[in-house]
Amino acid sequence: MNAGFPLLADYLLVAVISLDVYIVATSRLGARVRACALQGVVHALLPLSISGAALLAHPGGVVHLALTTSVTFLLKAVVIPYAMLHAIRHSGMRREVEAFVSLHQSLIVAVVLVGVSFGISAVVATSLRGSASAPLALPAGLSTLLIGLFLAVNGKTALSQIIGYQVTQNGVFVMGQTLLGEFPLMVELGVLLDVLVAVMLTGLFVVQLSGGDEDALFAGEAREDEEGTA
Amino acid sequence: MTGFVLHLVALLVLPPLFVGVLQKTKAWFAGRQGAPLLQPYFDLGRLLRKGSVYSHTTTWIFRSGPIIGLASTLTAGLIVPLVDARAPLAFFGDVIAFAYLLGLGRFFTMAAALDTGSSFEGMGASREAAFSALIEPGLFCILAAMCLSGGVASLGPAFSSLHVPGGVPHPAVVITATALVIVLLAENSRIPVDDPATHLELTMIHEVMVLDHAGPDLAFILYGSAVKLFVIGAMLVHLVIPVSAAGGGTGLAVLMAGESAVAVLVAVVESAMARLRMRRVPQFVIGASVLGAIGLLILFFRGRA
Repeated sequence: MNAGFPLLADYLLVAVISLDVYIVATSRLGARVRACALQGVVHALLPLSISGAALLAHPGGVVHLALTTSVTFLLKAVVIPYAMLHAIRHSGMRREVEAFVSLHQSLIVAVVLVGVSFGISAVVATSLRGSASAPLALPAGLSTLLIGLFLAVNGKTALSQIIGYQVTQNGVFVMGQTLLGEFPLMVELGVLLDVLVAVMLTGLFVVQLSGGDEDALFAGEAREDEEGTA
Repeated sequence: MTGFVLHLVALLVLPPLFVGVLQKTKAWFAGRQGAPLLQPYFDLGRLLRKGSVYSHTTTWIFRSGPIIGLASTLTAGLIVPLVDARAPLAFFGDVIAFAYLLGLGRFFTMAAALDTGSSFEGMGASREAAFSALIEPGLFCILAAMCLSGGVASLGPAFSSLHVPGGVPHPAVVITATALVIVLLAENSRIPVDDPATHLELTMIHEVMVLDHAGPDLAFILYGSAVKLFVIGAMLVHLVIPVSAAGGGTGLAVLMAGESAVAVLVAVVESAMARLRMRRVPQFVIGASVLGAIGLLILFFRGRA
């Protein structure tokens, strides 16, 4: 099934892995959100590069492809990052990531996770060879999934955990595209909407309840708000 | 035979030129006219005509530092292919020799710095030791990635087989090249890691170790660092440009164009960035190891798939 643009797909998948590592390496929450958004852009382009030609041959394939690409782009690269940056700005929390494991050690963990997923893919790939149109998609998806889980577990504040959750979602999508070739349109849009709602809700919680141990700081800001409205 | 002569001439004569290109580009960014392109050669000539001053507290280690440093760098330069696809000193496993020749030169530079008994130089040596230990895994990942793609534990054939037909490099090559850029900046004490133009001993790494050297010794050190930049730059050029290492005049022209591009790249990085805080440097350098490891993994996986 060589229906896509293999070199473009390889570049995109390597970009996904690099962004994973960047997300682990940077200490700023805003930078993490932006990297996540960039992953969303890469994501929107993936279906085109992996199975673009096959989809275009379908009747209605163009619509399917255009709809998935544009909706993925809109939600993952515009709406969700905007909501999260908004939450960061208005929650008054620290802009830096607070984590249990230090940045250096996290980087090493990330590389180990990438290595593990390459190892697993090498073992599993033989049985999946028929359906996999881009050989790097499985390890890229798996490492994104694992790194996302690690980020979610490692983050101390709600926002860094959401970022981990989002990275995990990205990984699931990349893997799904490898294993299934293409999702049914409705499933894809439904999942996207689910992610959006989850992120919106958590963003709301973060702004309303404040993240973790920032109570004192946040209480001060809330009081200011009350005075403003009164 | 002509390839061998051309390699030697390129290795011995060209390196200071690209330091000149680098400094000229930096001057252009700063809005200055800058020193002439050949200024590094004039500097070397001036230093070689001077005498040396040695402190009474130093021993032979201090005097051997610059000489061994230059000799090991030049030997490492014989292992990396410059003009031809095959280097004069190519043998099975020469990548390991390459990495440790750089290490040997660094060891003697640090030993000479410690030999002076100056506390500042000791501090510089300590930092150099810490950071170079962090660079090494990255360098080895890159070398391993190149060997893996060549199927031989030698630098020559590794280079020539890394290029995808059609001229577009595989993303693994791009990632490995990025890691190599970080290693190049760190190995040559360039800006995000160390500032070669600084005058504050507290923040220096490499420069503080050579403060006590004068005259011909300093010339050897400056020449050696130019050669080091040239040699690692050549690795980068061969990694990125598919038609390099063609041999003869073409190889030389491509090499010179590529080295100029590397010098301009380093100058742009130096002009656009500030030096990282000392605490952030390890993270930057570990980045090279991470990228190198990922490049290695991708190449390995593709080889099996």
